[in-house]
Amino acid sequence: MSLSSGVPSPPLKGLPSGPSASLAAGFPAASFTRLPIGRNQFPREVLDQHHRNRVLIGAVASLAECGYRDASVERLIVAAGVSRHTFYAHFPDKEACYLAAYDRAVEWLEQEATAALAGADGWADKVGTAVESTLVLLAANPGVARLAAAEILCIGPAGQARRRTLVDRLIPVMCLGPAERPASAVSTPRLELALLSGVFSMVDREVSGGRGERLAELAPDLTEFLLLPYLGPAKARRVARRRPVPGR
Amino acid sequence: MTLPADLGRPTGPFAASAGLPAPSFHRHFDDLEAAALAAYGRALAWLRAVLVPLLGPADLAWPIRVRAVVGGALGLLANHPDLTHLRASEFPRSGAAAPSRHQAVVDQLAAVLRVGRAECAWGAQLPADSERIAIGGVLWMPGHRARRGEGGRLPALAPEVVYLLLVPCLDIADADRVILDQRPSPAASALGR
Repeated sequence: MSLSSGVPSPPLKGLPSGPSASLAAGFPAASFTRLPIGRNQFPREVLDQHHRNRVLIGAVASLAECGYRDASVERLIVAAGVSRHTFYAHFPDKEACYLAAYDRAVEWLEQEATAALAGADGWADKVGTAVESTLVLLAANPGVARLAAAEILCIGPAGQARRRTLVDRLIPVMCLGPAERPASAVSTPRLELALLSGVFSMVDREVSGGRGERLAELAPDLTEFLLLPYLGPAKARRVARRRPVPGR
Repeated sequence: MTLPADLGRPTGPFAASAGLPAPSFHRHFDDLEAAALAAYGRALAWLRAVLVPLLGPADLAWPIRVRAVVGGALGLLANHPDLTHLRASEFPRSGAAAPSRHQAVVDQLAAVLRVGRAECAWGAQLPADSERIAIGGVLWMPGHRARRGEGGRLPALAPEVVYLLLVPCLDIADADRVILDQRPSPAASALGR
């Protein structure tokens, strides 16, 4: 079983060697494969981590097929290939599981974006690189896209708070731009909140409208929108269109 | 309007919180999702009725009209926190129809804002969805601030909201001038604002 994504999911040859290895392996790249023969050789905490990962991946996989409201624990454990007992050993309910899956997905997206930034030069280029990296990954992983971009708002107050927290974390990154912004009557960080809210709402729109696989094509437009107040229309357009449009 | 955490629950307790027996509730709505959709539609209709007059005459410059409506809308939302709560917290999780209903509102407002593109030298080069992105962000901001306990100070967001809506089609310096000009629009003056 795979996440039906464009990101390869290599079979797990062995278990992660340390507490950080499972995370570093990437969220969708984790595997559904059963533990190798001789499972008793693995410490309890490693087995627990493996089971937890499978539950989280099952949660994301089942979300690619149905929305949060229809995603039952029953459906989730079937997708994860774990027992009901295993599920409840890790999470008290569906909501807690999906919130944990969201946290893991965001962590993964941020890691990937940070890695992509190594090749970027200057603030504006970094904004474009981060947008492109994130949208390419979301386009290739429908379950992650649905969880991170649309369904998180359906999870209730805790899910909506997660979204606000994420936007708040990104605001300081955008605030690095005003050095390039002409003097203006508007203040930071409210302008950055407005810009990021627009981008998030557009991504939500595409995913909830069933166009998640085309998200990568939006990267230049969203980058241009984010840069426009800082660079003006002509320069924002030039920077945003420097790269070929992903997915085309 | 606050929906129960589990929307699959019986509607009785929700109806009771509105002072109604469950049968009365079901005479009007099939379920909680239908009630949320109806409440959202009613709120939109009310906002439209109050805000459209603020647009003023059609020959008024579009940036001034935008500024007038934004100021009016943020003032209304600050005085009616229940509307922001419905839009930002309850409606998104009310059911499968919520996203498309919300996007229809974004599309309507984006179509209105598109008038600025026609008057802009670089309008044809702007991203096709500029207006949708801007409107989507603007609609999301009040909820974000309200959940931070700043719902009563929503009117303070007006400069940034207006800027976001104007700046794709207006020179940055011109957008600043519109924001800094504190004179009320003619329509707002006529309405005593």
